Amino acid sequence: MKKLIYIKTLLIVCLLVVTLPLHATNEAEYKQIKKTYTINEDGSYSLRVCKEIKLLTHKAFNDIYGESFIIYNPKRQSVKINDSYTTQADGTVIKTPTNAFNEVLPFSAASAPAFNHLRELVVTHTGLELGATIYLDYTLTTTPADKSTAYFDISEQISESSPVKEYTISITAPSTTYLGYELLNSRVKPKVSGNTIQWIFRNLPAAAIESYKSQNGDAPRLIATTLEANSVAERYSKIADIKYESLANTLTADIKSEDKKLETLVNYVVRGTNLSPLPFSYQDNTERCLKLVSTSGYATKMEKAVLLNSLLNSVGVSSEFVFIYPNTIDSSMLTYSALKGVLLKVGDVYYSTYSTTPVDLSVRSAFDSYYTIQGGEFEKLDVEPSKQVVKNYTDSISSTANDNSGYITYTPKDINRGVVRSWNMNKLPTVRTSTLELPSQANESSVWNIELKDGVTLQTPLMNISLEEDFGSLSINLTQEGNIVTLKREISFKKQSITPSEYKKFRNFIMQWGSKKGSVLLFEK
Amino acid sequence: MKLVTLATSLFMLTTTVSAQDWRGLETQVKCNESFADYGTINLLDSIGVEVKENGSGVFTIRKVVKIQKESAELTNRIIKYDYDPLTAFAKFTTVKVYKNDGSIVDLDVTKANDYAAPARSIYWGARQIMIEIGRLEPGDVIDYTIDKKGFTYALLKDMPSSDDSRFIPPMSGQYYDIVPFWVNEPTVKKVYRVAIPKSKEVQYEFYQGECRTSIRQDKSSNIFQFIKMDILPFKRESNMVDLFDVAPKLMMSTTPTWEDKSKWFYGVNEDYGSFDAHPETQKMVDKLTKSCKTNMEKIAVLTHWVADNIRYSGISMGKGEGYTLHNTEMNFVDRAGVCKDKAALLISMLRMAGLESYPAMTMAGSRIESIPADHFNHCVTVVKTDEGVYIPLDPTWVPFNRELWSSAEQQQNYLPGTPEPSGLCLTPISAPENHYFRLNSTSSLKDDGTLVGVVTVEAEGQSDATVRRPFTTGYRSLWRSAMETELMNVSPEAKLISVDYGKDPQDYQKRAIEITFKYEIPNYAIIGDDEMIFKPFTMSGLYNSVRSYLHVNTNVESKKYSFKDACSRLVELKEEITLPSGYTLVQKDKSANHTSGAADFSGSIDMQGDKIVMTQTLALKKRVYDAADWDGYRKAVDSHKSFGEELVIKK
Repeated sequence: MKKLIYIKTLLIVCLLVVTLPLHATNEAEYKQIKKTYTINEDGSYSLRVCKEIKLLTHKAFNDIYGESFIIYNPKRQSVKINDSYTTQADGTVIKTPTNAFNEVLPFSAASAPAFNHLRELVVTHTGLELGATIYLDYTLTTTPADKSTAYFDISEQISESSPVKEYTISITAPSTTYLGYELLNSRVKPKVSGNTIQWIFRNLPAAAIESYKSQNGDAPRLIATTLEANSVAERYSKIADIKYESLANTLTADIKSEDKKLETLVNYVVRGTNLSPLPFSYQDNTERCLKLVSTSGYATKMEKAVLLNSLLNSVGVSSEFVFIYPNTIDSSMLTYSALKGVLLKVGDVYYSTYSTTPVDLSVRSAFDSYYTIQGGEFEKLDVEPSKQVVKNYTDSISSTANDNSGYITYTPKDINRGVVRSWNMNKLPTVRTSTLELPSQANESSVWNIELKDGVTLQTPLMNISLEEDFGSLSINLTQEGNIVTLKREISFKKQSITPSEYKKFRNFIMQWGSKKGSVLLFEK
Repeated sequence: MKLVTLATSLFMLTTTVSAQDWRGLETQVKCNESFADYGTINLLDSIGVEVKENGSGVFTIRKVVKIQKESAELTNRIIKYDYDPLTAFAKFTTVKVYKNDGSIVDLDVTKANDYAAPARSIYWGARQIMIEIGRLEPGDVIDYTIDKKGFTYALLKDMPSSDDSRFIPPMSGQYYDIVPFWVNEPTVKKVYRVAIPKSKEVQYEFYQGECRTSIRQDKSSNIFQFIKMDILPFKRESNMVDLFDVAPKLMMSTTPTWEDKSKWFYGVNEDYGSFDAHPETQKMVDKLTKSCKTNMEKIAVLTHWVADNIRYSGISMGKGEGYTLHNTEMNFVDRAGVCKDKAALLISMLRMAGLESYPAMTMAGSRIESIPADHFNHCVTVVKTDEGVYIPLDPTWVPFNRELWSSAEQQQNYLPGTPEPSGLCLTPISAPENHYFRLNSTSSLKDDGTLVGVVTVEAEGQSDATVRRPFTTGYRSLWRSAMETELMNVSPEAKLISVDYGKDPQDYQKRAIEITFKYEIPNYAIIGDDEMIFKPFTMSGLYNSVRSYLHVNTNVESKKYSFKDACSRLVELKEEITLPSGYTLVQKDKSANHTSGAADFSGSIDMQGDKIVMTQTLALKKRVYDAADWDGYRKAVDSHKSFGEELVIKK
């Protein structure tokens, strides 16, 4: 009997050990998420979503899970709510009332008459309290506008802000329909049954709430499409040579130099045309005609790229589209849904549609790939790594400098303007669970030669600090020869991804670089 | 009847005026140098209103905008206007663009979009109308007119046809308006013109400025007109009070007194049954108040329960939304509502607990004038205490806050809707000690510049709410890293050795917050051969989020307008730093004392043995200060800041 009690106690303790940490640190827990795609012969498809989430904290229902948002295009999509209710902690079921389903305009479509037809169905979950479970089941049906948009193309991140016990995605497609798919960042194998392919993910952790996270994501991502490889490249190769001469000529009238024409047209598209931050898919991956884009004064990112390309073409400045995709994606899966952005290549310079400053491809070449179109197909660009940035400063300190009780604290010029300091990594917590992504490559060397005048003396002890790690190295050197004090600071990284196991060393490394020791010098008058 | 229609038509005609009547105003722009640098100029900004006997209004809104510079060619590429379909209807009637080249584009107003506006938190069906103008050029002039019918009830600032009854205001027959006469773009002529039936008595006042005023009569109406010319954007001062409190505005109302409004507000919700008992809610009240020994305990328990457990989220009840408080059943079952609904559920629960409670309207952010125009954006609760006085409670502003009425709303007007009609009330000043923020720090500085120490933060009231925020609104998984981040505000190299925030820092009702950090900060001091320089730890950025006075710019010597801080506050800092052996403070001992009606400060710093000892007490006595308070406030805050200067120690 005693043994039985002991075993029971042990089981309870084990159970608590397993469940307590989850409840102690999470705001909620998804019991299940189920997404079911069904593709039809005519190119239409439906998505059925079922989700069930248990709320564990006030924050969960006050700030995070109080509403569900379903954005859709009523011109070719419809939403049907199959079921929606809340089960309260005591088992009471609160059906979502009709006044809790409200349609509004998505914020991304605001101030854009051309996209004013888009809608966001907001489901306000009622009856929420600690221990309540939200249940929502809806179907989104998509009918293609025409043959050119009769395709299925998704890129789904399999991750939520709370852990998920079971996350299921399945796709059913007619046997005659081509379906390409790729699952990134996961070893889950699909189950194929007839025309249905299914992935089941169990015990997914909550997405980490951390800064400097991987832009392309650490979590599993499923890309699936009925588009043939190079469909995107083919479409844009057809519009790559379009010109808009009347506008281009008006904008560049009286400008002779090609550089000035380029600057004027880039400026017109970047600053002189408002950005409509609509995702590509909300516009059926199409663009409005150029005249409409320019006269309306607003454009999506892709519309801006097409407009700039055509304007440049019109004045004889040769430009090419450059498409950005995560470099983990297979070349056969370069679809609309996986597309991250588009640039324009003019000679060896790359322009975005959001800044007049050219883009340095090396900044993200460790994570993203860049493609131009050659003969209707994507061709990957070779990107050179960034070069070392070397800066030399000369300065002097005399007895006229501001002091505190005869002491001068001196911060070398531009020390906070270096690449690494510009990342603002000055509050990194000690614990991290996700990969840290450096915002750019960095290889910088700065030297300050400071002349001491009027008997001013250096009080900071001379130093020679160096750190060599697998991910990079740094050195900080303070020397003095006669009345010249020299501070030399160098830092470089060998890679841009820092794994959780490397994080502790990386944090120390960054703190050393940001430390007052070696960044602020002390002098005495 | 025909006469009335004719008069109406004539009135509208005079307010909308005909084509290109703005040409004279355009000439004025050319003569006024102060308009030259702006991208756009409003040549005319006018509102014409014809008030019906039932209090509803027919509005004609006309704006004529001139594009002056290329940089402004996109600023008017669309025109948008918000309205609430439950109480109003709006449409463009004319939109013309007079191009700089002399051509005129007459836009088809039937192609304007009319749609559900983007929204978060409040889903009451607010709509927008939008018409596309497109890219413009310098010299182009847009002239547009919008017709609006109905009223706008301002209980919530977020609130933005065949049955005209929806346009009748809730206080039937009464009309009010609040018209800002300040502008964001320079405006040559701003006009507000209203025709009110002679049967109604009107009171109005033009505040904080002057305008040209006239009153004319036709057969059925008195026509009031207010015109202001050549208005430039209002020059703001840092930390000043709301523009409604300092800039020109017109307030107008046909309601005689605030007591009348109070009476109406009491009646409208009682008649609807907003506070009717509900069995399930009663069970919850009984459960929550089971162990309460006094009425005040019941008030506290119920206020905190509603604040924490009724989510701020608005779904519409249909007719009456915006000014009618949802009933008990709807609020309790939905567990969601906006301020008025949270206030309503608290009233219901207090009544079910045997207390006398009513709703009140208030204006968070600015003053309410004596003219009873509904200048409200918020709804709260009042309850009668055992002493027979009403006190305000705000379940919307006090989630996870130890207060029952947020002191971030002290010195704020409110109007209770009580059976015995009330006048305007004012929430009292909350004493600084109700919001104390204390740091008690002991540390040792090592030879290599490392600071090792312990600091305890204690806070109450609004200060408690801010210090506690990582535990009440932050993610649970980030509690410890939030404490690390707070310490790293002092130095990126700070190492958190341990932190003690008690067993459950979310349990704000149990006691005022107290957190103790043990830490080590390498390279805290800048070291020399025989000297070190460093800031006092308590003045190095720890919990600056609580020290809202640091966001008040004290560089300016004087204030023209009243200014505000987040809350009254008492700051008490005690710090002892043990120096490395042989070091002593270079600077002389220092002390300071200032007292005034706005703020007091006393502080000292000196060497005591091998320790530097610093004490500071800063008492900030209000939330909203008069301009005359500036000198006293500034002296106290600046003296306090001066104790954050770097200290030099030497062997």
